[in-house]
Amino acid sequence: MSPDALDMLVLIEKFLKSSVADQVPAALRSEVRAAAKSLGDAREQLDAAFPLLMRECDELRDLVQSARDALGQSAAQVGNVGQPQSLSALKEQHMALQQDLGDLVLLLQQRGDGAGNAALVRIFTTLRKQAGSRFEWQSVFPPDTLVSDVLRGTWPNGNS
Amino acid sequence: MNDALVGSGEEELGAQLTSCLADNGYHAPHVSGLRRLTGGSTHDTWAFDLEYGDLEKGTADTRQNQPLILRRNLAHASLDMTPQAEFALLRWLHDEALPVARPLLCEPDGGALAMPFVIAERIIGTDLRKALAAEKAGAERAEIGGQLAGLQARVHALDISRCPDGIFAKGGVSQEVQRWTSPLLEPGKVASPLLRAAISWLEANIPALDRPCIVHGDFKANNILWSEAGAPVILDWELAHIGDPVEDLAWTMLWTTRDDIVCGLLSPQDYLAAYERASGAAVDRERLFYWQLYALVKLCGILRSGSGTVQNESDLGPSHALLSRGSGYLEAAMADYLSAIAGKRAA
Repeated sequence: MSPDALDMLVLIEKFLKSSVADQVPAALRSEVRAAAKSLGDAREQLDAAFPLLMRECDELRDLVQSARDALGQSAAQVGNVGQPQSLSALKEQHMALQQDLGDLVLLLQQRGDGAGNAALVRIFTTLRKQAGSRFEWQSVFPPDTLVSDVLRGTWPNGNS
Repeated sequence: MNDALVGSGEEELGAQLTSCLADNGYHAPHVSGLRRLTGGSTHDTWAFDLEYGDLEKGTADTRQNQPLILRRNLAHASLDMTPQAEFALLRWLHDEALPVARPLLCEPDGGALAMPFVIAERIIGTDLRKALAAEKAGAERAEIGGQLAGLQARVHALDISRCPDGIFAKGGVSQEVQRWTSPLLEPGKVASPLLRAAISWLEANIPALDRPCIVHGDFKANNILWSEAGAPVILDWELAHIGDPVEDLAWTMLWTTRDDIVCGLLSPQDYLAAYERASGAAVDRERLFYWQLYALVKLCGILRSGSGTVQNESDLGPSHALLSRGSGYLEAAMADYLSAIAGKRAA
């Protein structure tokens, strides 16, 4: 069977690491290695992307609705609820929902009443969980320790 | 011919350096041991040894040897201060007896090297983060942590009225916050709800600048050189500015592995206590909370812009693109701060 798109990522990653990285000037070597690593990571992440984004879109729709409720806005269809046919379409839907939610979050922050802040806590908690599901996909920070957890003890009374 | 040069790039640079040093008053310079220490898309750093003096009469005692560092600015658009500002700042800090590498030469237009650069003395040692990772720091960790908190307090205690003009851009806290937040919200960029909420809160709650001081801007373990003599030297002043000392503490507290100042040398609370003892000033926890959230947003901006080298994330090179993936981690941390703010207001 011929290599599919995911196989190609692995093949190119191997090629960059074994045949290219040591042949380029030192200034470019780290870039080639970073490109190879990105391709290796991409295979794993593309596999997980569709179900992850589907689940997150559902959660974002709920959050948009709860934000509108807290703002007293009338019911309206939240985003495009049709089943996306490609990963690109799903990504677009995810971004559109994030944009809508961001607009509502700013309104809730401006209003600053009890119900609005309770909605904000729910929104921020869900978004933290969503961001957390990608910790393993980065290598800049230790994925098992969030800096806010480490520093919580230094926050002023009432914030923690 | 230079010794210990590897590859044509190094040979060419060695020749350019030799020419440049000769043009700047170093008689019969001889460059050797040229090697690249760090590099990226915004700047690179090279170590080399310079021998100069009277070559014709030349006996060993009439020629001098000096270990030096060359730092070149590779990118025209980056977050770094200009080489001439960095040079003037380092010279002033050195005159003020701060432990920094003494700068010797600056070419804002590049001269023989064709790109702006600074040459400074090279202090032999290891960056503290590497020393800690290798358990080579020598003295007890808490003792080193206390020493660094004290050093940071010394930076903040410098009399800014004595600082030469032209190093720092004019502006207050508001401009500094805008500098890092505005690019993240430019039209055409999709900012996450967390980032938008964090920036909105930061802009609405900018603290008054009660005690303006020199803020290093990147005071962390890998920007501290631990000299062979066992003393810290502060490196990498490109993000320095006039600002709130607590901003500097919050940035240091962003780095919390076992090889960092906070959590590696001192717990967060002990770090603050050490700073308070050294500075004689209490750290306002509300202000610290503000700057901690700001530090998350600022780092997000740095990661997503490839340290200021690109306007759009789609233009990032591979290594910067990998780094920018850390912004999700930062957003998760922002969520905790934002939840705390909203939770307090809801209560």
